[in-house]
Amino acid sequence: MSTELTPVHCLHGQGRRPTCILCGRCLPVCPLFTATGREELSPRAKFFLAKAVGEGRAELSAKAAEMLATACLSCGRCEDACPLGLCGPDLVAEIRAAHPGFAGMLWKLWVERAGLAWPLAMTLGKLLPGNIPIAAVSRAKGALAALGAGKAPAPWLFPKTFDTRQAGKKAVIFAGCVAEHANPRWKAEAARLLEGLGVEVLPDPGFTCCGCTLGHAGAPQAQAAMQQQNIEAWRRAGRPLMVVFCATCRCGLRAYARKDLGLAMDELGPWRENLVSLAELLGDTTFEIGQAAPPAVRYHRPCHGAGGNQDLSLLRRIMGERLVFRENETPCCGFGGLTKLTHPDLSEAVAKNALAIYAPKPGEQIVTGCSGCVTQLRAAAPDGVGVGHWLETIG
Amino acid sequence: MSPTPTLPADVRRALEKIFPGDAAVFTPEEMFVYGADASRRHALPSAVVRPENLEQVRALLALAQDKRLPVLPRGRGTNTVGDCTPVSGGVVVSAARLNRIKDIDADDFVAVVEPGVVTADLQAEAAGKRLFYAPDPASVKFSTVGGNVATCAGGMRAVKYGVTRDHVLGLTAVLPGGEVVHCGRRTHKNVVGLDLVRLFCGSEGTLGVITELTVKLLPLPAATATLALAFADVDAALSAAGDVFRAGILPVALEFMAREAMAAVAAISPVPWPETAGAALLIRLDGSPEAVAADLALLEAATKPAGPVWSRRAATPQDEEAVWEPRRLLNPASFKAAPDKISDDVTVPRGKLRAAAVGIRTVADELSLKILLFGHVGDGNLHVNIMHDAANADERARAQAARERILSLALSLGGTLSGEHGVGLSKLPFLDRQLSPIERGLMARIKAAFDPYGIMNPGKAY
Ligand SMILES: Cc1cc2nc3c(=O)[nH]c(=O)nc-3n(C[C@H](O)[C@H](O)[C@H](O)COP(=O)(O)OP(=O)(O)OC[C@H]3O[C@@H](n4cnc5c(N)ncnc54)[C@H](O)[C@@H]3O)c2cc1C
Ligand code: SF4
Ligand code: SF4
Repeated sequence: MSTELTPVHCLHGQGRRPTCILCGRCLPVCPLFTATGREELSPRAKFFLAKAVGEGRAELSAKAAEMLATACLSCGRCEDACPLGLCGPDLVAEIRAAHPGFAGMLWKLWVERAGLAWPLAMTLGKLLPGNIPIAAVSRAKGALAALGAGKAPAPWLFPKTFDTRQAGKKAVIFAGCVAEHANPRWKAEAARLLEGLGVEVLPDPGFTCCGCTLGHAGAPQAQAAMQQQNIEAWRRAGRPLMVVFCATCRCGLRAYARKDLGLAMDELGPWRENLVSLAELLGDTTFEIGQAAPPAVRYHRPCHGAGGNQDLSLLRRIMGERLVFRENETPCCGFGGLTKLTHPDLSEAVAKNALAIYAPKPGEQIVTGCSGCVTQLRAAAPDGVGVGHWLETIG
Repeated sequence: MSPTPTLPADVRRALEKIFPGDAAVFTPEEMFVYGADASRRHALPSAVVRPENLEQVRALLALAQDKRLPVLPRGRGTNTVGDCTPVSGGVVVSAARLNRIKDIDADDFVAVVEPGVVTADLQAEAAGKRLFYAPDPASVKFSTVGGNVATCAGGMRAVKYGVTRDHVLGLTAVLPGGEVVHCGRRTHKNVVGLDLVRLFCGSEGTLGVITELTVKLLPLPAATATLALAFADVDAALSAAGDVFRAGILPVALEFMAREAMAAVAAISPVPWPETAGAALLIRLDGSPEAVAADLALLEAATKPAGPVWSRRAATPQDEEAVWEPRRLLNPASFKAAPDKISDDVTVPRGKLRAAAVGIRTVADELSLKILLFGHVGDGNLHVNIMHDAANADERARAQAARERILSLALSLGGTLSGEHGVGLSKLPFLDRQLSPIERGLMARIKAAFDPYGIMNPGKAY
């Protein structure tokens, strides 16, 4: 399992890759393989084929390029399992970056099928040519709104006493693409909680996407530009606390400190220390359990939860016995990477597999701490099962 | 890409009919990985299919026999001897979608599974009912029960519980032509007829496609503990290993590592033993908590005379984890110790271990090669990794020579060419050193009884 020290799969293209030894350790952890039984989608298959292509023993046909460059959820589980630390997303990103036509293909796909993936596509739109067709945006927005509304849990946890140990500190909220574009209520709720804690919330200093997706998309230059914009914004705001409530954003932002992005030596420490999750800040804040409390709540651990189960410890404390989490049942939701755009069928198969493992009963809820997971699981969950960011359970 | 072995159009159509949608794959890109296994050999198959039920396998084997098409069953391709490499083309049959655990019975103490179930998943599900599936190859988390049976996989617990074949009670398999055979029973004893179940164990996919397995379960041991010891040299460690059995103790696992193997691990991770140590033993016990505690004391007394230079008792899961971690890191560490390696898993009678270790040391010295030596010494099973740089012709030749000498050494001590990995392609050239033409002829006739046209995994194993 990941620890605070190992969320390195956002570090694309750093150093030479060791050679895959074909041991097979990465198969059972890869959500694409476990959901489909298609070994050609496994990390081992990708590394093996990519190596043969590199050595001229296999041709980089359109089909090979598609397999290598489009079917990966960027969950990073292969890297954690591989004895050599081989990372599927790194490979995929490299291949994408090496294919100039890739961005154009994504653009086309986005227009055709954005649907649920539109917040991601909004981000991608920034690097792609042309204007975003309004029709596509509203169609996508509509799809998401229609979907989300029914399954969001009604609030059932109400703050009683706030932990004021952080009172007086200044903070900015890094909400991330999905919250910014699709679920503005999350950001408002986060701001309200911070206020309760006595933390001064500064206005948004001009953050953009964390850049994770762009890295995966094979646009390292656009990614670096966004990363720099975020660092600048943080500096301008006076290097305050950066509060995140999306695991994937946190993972992406943490990785800045390991790359040469212009953070000065004496900024590296503050960058890491000031990047805090909302759950961590809530500390010993207590909550009252309201009428709408469900009989059971499943915690879905995001793949990018690397480094700290702050969400899980908070939820265990405030939800008590209701919260169900099993270390051996931590499926991937299937949202990550660009698979939602490139292979919606695969992405769906992975989500279906996750729900089959959770097997929620009507009236139960699934909560998580990643915007992508919420979007994905909400779409796949059966009627009567609430799915949300844990922020949505707080009123 | 090397050209795909051609598949006549009518055969392809027939396969597509039996395996609709994404259950059959024909493009070289998609099939690429199915031509490889952990031996790192490669050849492209002509087709890949993913059956979900017995009927599909039956139809496939009828077609394959009719068209004389090679058939290669595949679990997770973790075998290290080239068993899954389609050297003469053919259809790879992936068991990835035959992965249901059908029954775990706490009264009969049996489990019924499809071959594609990952062995660790079976163990976990059994443990939930306080039952125990004992075989545990180091690949337990990423290899399949079917693959384990077809290679008769060993593992660390083999010293006490035996190898995979000791836990298979029955199986269903489809033979070339499509005939379905049910061998063995759900009983823990059965002496009716020839033991066809055992014939499938270690058959390396050469007899038929296994579609269901009935395996033996045991009560889950309540406790385990480990004693980790380091010694000044290999001989002291191996003499301590002998003392363990002489003291009347049968450990669950008795693992050994020599200096070069220990150094390889130390190069990638902190290790608990002192730098001066020349060999290490990891000895695990299981049973009731009281029995384990008493045996641990006995074990410490029994290993004293050999003079360990370091020792650590681990009686909690966390402590055990810590002492076993270096052993688990050995495999990845070995890949970092040199650009290339030749691995063998020779096995000798337990009493000949010390002689084997001395002989291997001599080979390493005389040919100036680094050889990592470790293994399941409770079974006399030695893993020998001959480290070298294949880009250097002289070094490659010396490594090959070392391999030949070590295989001969094992045989001269009354041992075997392979204790657990099998023959596949990689040991085939040496087979005549261990088996006489009469025995090989008999094996060929047995195979012909199952597979008259030689379509099952041709060119492998025996
Ligand atoms: C890191 C690592 C550690 C390992 N540790 C050990 C160890 O400790 N002990 C050990 O013994 N081995 C070990 N191995 C080797 C390997 O894991 C075993 O041989 C394992 O049993 C292979 O299982 P698999 O599912 O990968 O089968 P595969 O490699 O896919 O197949 C192996 C053979 O079984 C046949 N087969 C598979 N399924 C069927 C079926 N349904 N019907 C008929 N035939 C079938 C195949 O045709 C092939 O001949 C290790 C390998 C690695 C990479
Ligand atoms: S990142 Fe996840 S989906 Fe992609 S290859 Fe690795 S394990 Fe599979
Ligand atoms: S775990 Fe790593 S080395 Fe092993 S098969 Fe997967 S990518 Fe290759």
